[in-house]
Amino acid sequence: MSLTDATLHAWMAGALEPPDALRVEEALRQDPALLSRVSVLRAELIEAPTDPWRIPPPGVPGGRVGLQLRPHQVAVFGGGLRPGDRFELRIPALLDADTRRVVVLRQHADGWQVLFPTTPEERVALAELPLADGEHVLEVSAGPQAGTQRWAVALPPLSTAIDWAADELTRWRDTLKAIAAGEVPCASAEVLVG
Amino acid sequence: MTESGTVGSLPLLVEPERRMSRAEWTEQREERRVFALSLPDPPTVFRSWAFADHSPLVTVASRALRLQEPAPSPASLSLALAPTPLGPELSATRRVHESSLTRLEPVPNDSAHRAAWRIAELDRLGREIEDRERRSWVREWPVDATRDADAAEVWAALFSGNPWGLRDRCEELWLATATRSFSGVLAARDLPSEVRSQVLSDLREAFFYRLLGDGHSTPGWAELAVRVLETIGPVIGPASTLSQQSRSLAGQCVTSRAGWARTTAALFATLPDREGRATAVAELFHDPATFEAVLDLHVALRFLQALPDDRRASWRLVTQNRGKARGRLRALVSADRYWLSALLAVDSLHARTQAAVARFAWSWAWQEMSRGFSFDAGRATTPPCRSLPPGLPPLTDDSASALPTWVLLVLLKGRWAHLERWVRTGGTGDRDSTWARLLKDLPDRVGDPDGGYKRVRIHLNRELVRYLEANQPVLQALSVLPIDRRLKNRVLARIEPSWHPEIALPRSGFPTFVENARRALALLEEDPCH
Repeated sequence: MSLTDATLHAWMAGALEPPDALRVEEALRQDPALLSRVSVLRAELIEAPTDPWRIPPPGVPGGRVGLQLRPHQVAVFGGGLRPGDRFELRIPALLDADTRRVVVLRQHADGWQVLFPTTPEERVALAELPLADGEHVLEVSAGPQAGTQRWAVALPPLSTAIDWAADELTRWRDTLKAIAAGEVPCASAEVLVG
Repeated sequence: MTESGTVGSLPLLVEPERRMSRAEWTEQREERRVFALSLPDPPTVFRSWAFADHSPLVTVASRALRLQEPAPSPASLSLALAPTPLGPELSATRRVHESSLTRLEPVPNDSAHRAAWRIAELDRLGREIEDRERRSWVREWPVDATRDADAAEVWAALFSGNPWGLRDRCEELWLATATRSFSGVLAARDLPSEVRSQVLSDLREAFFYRLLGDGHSTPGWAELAVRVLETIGPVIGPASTLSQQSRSLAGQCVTSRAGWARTTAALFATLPDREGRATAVAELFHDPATFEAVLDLHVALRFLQALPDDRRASWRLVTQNRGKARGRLRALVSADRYWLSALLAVDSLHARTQAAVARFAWSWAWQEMSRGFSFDAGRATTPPCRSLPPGLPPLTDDSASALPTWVLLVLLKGRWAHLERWVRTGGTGDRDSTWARLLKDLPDRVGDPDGGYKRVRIHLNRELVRYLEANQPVLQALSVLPIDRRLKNRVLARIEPSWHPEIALPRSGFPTFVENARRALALLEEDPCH
């Protein structure tokens, strides 16, 4: 019998229903060469990366309120975005917009990085962002690298203490915990930069 | 391979207790052979099937013995009825022993032997279903008091609708299992490592949200719960938790589907209308054990109708019919939510949930694969089960005959995602003019009296995957066409032979058809666990 790599992967992951698992195990018993194929396939698996920022992927409304982030004006005059071009991220209006701080992040090769705020003076409430069609408008500039760029916005309470003297992870420790617990609205979006 | 039930470090689910010696197997095969050659009376013929003790069901199956005269090949006759030859003494599963049968004596091809062949094959198939589709699910689950208690707490929180406080625990218990399934799918498709890394990173964030769902469609935790219940038994586990309302819905469902409608009409031949049969089926399902019996009857009827000469074809018939029925049952139970107490009552809740997560995440990963890993939290892996409003008759085989062609047209126009959303929600979320034109291409006779398309949506909710598969050969033919001046003629030459006359042939857009055919084929990527 022939077994596809997909079936062997499913068996390794425990994802086959018992009748199908039985079929694979019968084949493994009959054909020991399959065991070496299983070992090769297992070696090809990669570890899942971890990031301290628990940002939901684009398309998944984030936090208990189900925040969504929408890129806007990403195709000007029929063309796409280029590095440095300005575009908008639209954030739905929230009832407590005047008490929520706007935190902007962009994903880099080594994980999420806070672009704004980086100093105590950069203190902007969601309510301070202009409104258009019932959404707050956040204007940003596309990053320098071409390809798909991921952006995120988190909205912790303005009252959350931030230790500006600490390194980035310590500085945002309380916000990170609150995002993971769904207490801080948070969402991401993707733009294609050509 | 070791005798302790492992392959390397991987646990084996089914060894060694499902193996039997050559002598044991020979004894069983000889008993069946003699039994079949004795041409027993019809009721006894079904002794290995789950409906053997339900006399009304046996009566229906017995009548079906007259449906078709068996015409097995000489090889099939020998495989079923020739004396068992000597063979190597080994301990193996029943199927492995069967596959070792060679050098069989010829068997006379007369009517008595052909009738005996049918009896032997029925008996073997019934036994195989019992062995593989029911008994193989029975296993010892490891007990872990701490983790089982944690699992129960997370399940209760998921059910309460406010599980955020237990996100960490939920992920600690089950995220690694989901990651293994995704990782396997990504590796099977040989995706670049940076893509795999991004998807696994997204999964880490999306897993909990997927369990929660979007508040509109069936949440992931309900789909997962059904798979946990399946560890009790793939049919009896979920069926035992159905509410009266869902049993009624099950009755409506089975009496309105083409093949099942014939089975239930045969079972309740004295009830002239579908509504009456639906009520009778719902009452029958009051005893959860009858789900397996009726499902076995349905499979037996399909087998007696087709009488495949090839054992692989017979088994395909079993798995396809059981697979479809289980899919519908999952949809009913996941929408029902009467199962929490049954779920919390199972032993080894953590291990069972882990097994369920592995299967759920595998299906989810293939679904995400076909949609570019967009991680839409509201997209269920189990299509919901819907019923028609009273008084609105379902589409018949005849009235729905143009729909496979229409689905092909939708695929060629690149509107699969629109179709899927429309079937699921009744809308597409945009004002796409191509989609609007496609709706106008539907034949008038499939529309509802009020001008809507509820019947089409409910029909496609069940049949869309089948239509997609049916269109696979033509999609494959189109996907390799060169884009040149003769493209239109080439496309038409490939689609016209099977194109339904009620759907207008496309007149433009042929270059995009090739790319859209390739994309549609990607939807059909192999998923061994679907």
